Amino acid sequence: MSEFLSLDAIWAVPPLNELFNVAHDRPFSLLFANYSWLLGMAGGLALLWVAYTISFNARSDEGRHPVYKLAMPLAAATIVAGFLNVLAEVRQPSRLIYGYTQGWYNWDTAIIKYGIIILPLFLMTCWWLSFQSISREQLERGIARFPVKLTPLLDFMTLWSRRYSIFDYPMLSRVVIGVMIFFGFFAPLYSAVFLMYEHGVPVWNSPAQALIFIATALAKGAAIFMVFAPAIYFLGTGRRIELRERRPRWLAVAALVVAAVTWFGWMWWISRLGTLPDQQLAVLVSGPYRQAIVWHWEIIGLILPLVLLATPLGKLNVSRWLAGIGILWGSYAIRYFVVVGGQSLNRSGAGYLGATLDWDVVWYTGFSFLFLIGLLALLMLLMSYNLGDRPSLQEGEAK
Amino acid sequence: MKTRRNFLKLCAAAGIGGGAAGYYDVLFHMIPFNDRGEKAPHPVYGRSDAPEWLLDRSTGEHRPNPDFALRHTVDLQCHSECGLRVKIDKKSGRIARIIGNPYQANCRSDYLDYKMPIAKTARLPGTVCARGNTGLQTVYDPYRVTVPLKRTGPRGANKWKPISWEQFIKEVVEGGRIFADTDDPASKELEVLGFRGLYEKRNEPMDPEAPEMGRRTNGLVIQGGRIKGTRRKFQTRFANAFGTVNEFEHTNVCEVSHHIATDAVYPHKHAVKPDIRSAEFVMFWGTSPGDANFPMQTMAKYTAEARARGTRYVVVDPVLHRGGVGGDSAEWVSIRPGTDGALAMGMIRWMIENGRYNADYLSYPNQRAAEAAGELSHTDASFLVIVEPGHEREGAYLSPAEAGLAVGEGEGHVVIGADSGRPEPAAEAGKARLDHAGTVNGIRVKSAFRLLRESANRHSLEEYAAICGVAAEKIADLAREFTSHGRKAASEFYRGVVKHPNGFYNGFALHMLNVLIGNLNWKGGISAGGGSYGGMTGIYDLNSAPGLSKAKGIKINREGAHYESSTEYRKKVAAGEDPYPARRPWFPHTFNVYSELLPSIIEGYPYKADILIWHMATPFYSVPGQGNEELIEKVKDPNNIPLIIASDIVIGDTSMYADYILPDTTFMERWVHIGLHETTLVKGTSVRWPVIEPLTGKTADGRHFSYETFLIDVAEALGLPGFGKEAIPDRNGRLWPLHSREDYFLKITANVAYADGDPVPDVAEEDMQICDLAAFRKEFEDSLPADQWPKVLQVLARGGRFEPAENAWDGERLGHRYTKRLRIYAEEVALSRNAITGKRFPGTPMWLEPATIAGTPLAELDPKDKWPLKILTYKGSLQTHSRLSSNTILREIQPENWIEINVRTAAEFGLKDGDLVWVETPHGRRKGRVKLREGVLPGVITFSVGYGHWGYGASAVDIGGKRVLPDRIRSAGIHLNPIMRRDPDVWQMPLIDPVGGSATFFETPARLQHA
Repeated sequence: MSEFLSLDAIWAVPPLNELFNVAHDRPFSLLFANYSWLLGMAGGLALLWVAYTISFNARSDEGRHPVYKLAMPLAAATIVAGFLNVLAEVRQPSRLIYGYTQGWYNWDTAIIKYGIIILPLFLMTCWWLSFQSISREQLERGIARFPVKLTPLLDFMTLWSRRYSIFDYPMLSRVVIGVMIFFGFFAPLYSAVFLMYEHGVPVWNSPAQALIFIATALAKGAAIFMVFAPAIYFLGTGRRIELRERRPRWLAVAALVVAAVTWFGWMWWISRLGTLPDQQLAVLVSGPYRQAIVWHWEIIGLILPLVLLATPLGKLNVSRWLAGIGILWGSYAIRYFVVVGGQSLNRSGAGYLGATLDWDVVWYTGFSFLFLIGLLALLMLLMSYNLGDRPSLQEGEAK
Repeated sequence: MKTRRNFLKLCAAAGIGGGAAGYYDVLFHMIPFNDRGEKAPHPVYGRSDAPEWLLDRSTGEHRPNPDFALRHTVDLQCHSECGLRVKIDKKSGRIARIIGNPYQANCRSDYLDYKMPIAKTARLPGTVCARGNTGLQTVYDPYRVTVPLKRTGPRGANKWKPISWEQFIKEVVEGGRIFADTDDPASKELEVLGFRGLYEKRNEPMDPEAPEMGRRTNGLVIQGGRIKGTRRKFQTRFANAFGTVNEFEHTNVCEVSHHIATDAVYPHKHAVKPDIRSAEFVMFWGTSPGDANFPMQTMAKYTAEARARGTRYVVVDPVLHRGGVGGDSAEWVSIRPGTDGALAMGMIRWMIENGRYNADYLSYPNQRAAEAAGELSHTDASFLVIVEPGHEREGAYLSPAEAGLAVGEGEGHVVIGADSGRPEPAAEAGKARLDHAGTVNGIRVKSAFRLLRESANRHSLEEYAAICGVAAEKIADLAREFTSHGRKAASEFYRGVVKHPNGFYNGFALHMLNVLIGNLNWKGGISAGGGSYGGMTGIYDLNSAPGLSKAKGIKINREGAHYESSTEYRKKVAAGEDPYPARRPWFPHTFNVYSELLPSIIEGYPYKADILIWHMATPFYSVPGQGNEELIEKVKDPNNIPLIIASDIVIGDTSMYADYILPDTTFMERWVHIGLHETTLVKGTSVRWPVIEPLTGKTADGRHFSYETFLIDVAEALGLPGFGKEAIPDRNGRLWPLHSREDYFLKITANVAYADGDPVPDVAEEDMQICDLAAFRKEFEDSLPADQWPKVLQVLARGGRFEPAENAWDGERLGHRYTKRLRIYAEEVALSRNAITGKRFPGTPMWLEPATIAGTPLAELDPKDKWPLKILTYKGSLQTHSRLSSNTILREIQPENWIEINVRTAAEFGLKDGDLVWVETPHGRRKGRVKLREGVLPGVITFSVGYGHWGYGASAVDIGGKRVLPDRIRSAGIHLNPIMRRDPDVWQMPLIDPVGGSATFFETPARLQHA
């Protein structure tokens, strides 16, 4: 383990962009890492949403914490932003939907068809549940704030949610929860399994990366519930809230422990017991990528958040903030490493591909995040979030 | 609250609006379903290449896709000269795909009948290797130079400006203060002679006191890299017309000692190859089937086929490469670098001691006697050699006159008759005594075979084993197996054996293995190849022209000349001085001593140069030890070489130091006619021709810029013979013009088409269409008479001319046989001297310890306790020496090279896989990453060449004030040639083989240090 976490690696912090992208035409750029990160976040939010729906009285309007209400719109926005990244990544974006018009038999052996079918359903479900996560009255009031002639459109956009609630139908709500559990696992796992499907790339072919993707997705969901959703709530309403409920914190700790055990176990395995291609990966991690991995993933993404959350420090707001930022950063760093690092290896086992930053990637990354913000704001407007009920007193407090 | 809502509205509007705007191109192209993004030609298979063949479902037959032309040409991604089938998009004129030419022998074992229509070949593809497949990336390299460039700063500053072709030609021809427009203080005021100024001195001697040096026009030196076949002939034509003997290619950094050793045994042949497919046992020395050699893919394919049929082969090499695999059929014998000669001599000793050589075959002293006995060739094994100490012809063959014999017809050599026991003229003897020593007419003589036996007996088997690191039992086993298959065994070697100071003798010894079993011309034995269809003579005589004669004089690198014939030598002797050492070595037996050009020019030995042309040459990258600061600084000084012109397709590692870069064509845009390699056993001439329109610019009269266009325009500007209006004679006495390269190369193609009095068939109309040849003919219609076009186009449609595959064999004999006398004694070598030491060279194969040119053993020069490792280079199957870094597809497979060492060596240095280390040699150090392997001999470092560029797109350049950024992948990896061992006795000379002339790549001492 010392090879992957050693002091001499710590002295120099390499800029992340030293590793940016590969200098040739490869299937994936950072846009795929963005996509994986965003879909992972959506999956984490979905699982947190499920946990809160089951564990708390979220079926009733009184039990719905504002953070909970933000989960689905955030998930929907991140899914769309993720889609934008992947659309920019593939140069013929509409080929992604040819299956619908040409028949799926053309994709007999292509794993991509599962994503093309399931992830839009996930998006639609998140969109729908965004409006199911607030009371019908609140939605009614929100729609009423728009001109009357827009009401049919807004009804369509909200899937007429002001007229019914799934939580009124226990069986339906159980089905929806079941579906969301599936989506919640599928979304973070899909990008990992997609990479596993590529033959002969040791970083990608390990199930360890899939486990890390799902663990970091959960940690991200928890971090959002802890600190980022309250911040968004503040931006949207001007009201400060704090989620004092401790389960997201411990859920994040558990997820980070799983990620850490998986990561270090994986590294131990490949360096000691791995096959030749695995040893290539070991050399990559302990060589050219060593400092970046140690800093961006192991320290910022794993150890720092664990220390901040698993100790009494975790009671401090600033600790949770720092931990949340670390979780998001580390979650991106590990995806970055898997996607870009995987491509830096080559099948002959000879050396590593260099890296140059493609301006297009920066462009599309930036504008996809801008779109995410815009879509989230739109959803919050539709939900009339700024008119939202006061947060539940037992879970948070208004200031 | 209102404010917050407005804030959300603003966020929504700005976010969605801004985000959508940022994605406008993605979303815009996504919306209309019929044109999405980069339009996918096929709704399901997207951008996959449209196939060149279309399947007619009703008949099951393929027909050519009319959107593409298929043209056959010849590769140059390495030197294998494989045939290519190039798929060209007719609309764009761009290459879409490259595969093998099924009509050419390299690309299929059972290559197709010449008359088979192309339309019938869809299911009979030819193969090429990965390098061949990726050739289009060489053509479409974004760093291609397409217009003439002139430096604007000092040499090597990488500051250039594009200039017109006319300005380029005018400046280099007329000379003068042509660098006044640069900001280089060293050359602003420099008066450059130019081609005209030098040509006007064509009647002046280079050195009035040494007339053998020739005329002043020898001050033009052409240092060619890879230039072969008829392109080389074109260069030679220009050189002769101008009056310079100094035009070269790169062979001494390749494997010239192999050629010289081969020539010593097989006169006028530079390569012989095994009939791999029919052999029962093959030994590959210093090479491995599937990595390199001529032709790489063909040897690999033949070896795989043979192995499947039960052939066994052994690879003798310090490094285990791809072909040297284990198992029952193949074996890797690891050997100490440069000691192949010791192993071979050990095998020879065992073979002779155990009577495991073909004594009958060796006893026939002439072809007539050999054939009468059912043999297919004969040797000089029984020829008598003078060994009388102090005899004025000691070391020469005994002549009939010296033997007291009446000089009869035929050859002037003497043997001891097997039956008579008396001296007989070799040409008349039936069978001769093989192993003989005695006195003839008072002169002590020994037979060549006796000399070989004595040479082999200089060391015991155990001593040979100690030298080469192969156990004595193993040496005996190898010799036993080699001699257990009759004529169906062969010994084959490549540059690993010869790139040592003792390279010639290593190669000489290896050839002896074949000679001793008499396998030449036999199925499963050794082949001298099937030859080619020529091309330089026939309907047109491309070798001559009115007023054109061969240039004369000593070459600037002193190759092909004896020091003892020079004025310098005679003067020293006359002055009573010891004539040795000469200032730099002379190389009487070899050619293309490329590595001697720059140091000789700088030192002015034997004379200086005025103009240097680099054509596809990169000595700073490729020559061992020459990419060093000191030499580069000397070359950068215009006072040493006033004018340097580089012909290149990119700004390369060496051409970046030129004054001008003339934009050359790539192998897809140029001409060459070249014979098939011996490996294929058959006769054929491959034709490389411009299958696409060159990417380079055009002259005012529409000719594309190229090396040939440059030479033509310079020649025409000077009025050189052999160029211009009346330049090429045909057999009817008509003189044809030479104003474009097609004027020259199409006529060679016509000679090939009509060769041997057996013209090829006319091209079929369907093949014309598939190859899209009508437009080509129209463009160059005037270069040939109308009646020759159909046959010329047939040659182009097939990518050359090839005899039927079945001609390879004639029963148990090879279809093409070599009948000149084989030599086990190199008389010419034995009679010559090392110009540094004055000592004679041995004339028999023997084990010689590697040494400097002055004779210092390398083991003494670089003691092992100080330098425990030795560096070896190799050419991987994904690289060609210096080029191909532009082929990113290959770089994806292997983006970097390593410092490859044995795991035990790593343990000694405390290294683990992937560690960064410094490789230190006596001339510098380089940093790289180690790769641990079992397949490397302990004590050896090896690395694949082709990486670690500083030019060729790896460095930023300024062109016309614009900064062109580098491609980092081209500088990736490590390159150790610049820090390789140089000879301490001669300035800037790599360790060199004094007989074969090879620069040494495999004797650099080294050590490793953690970086």
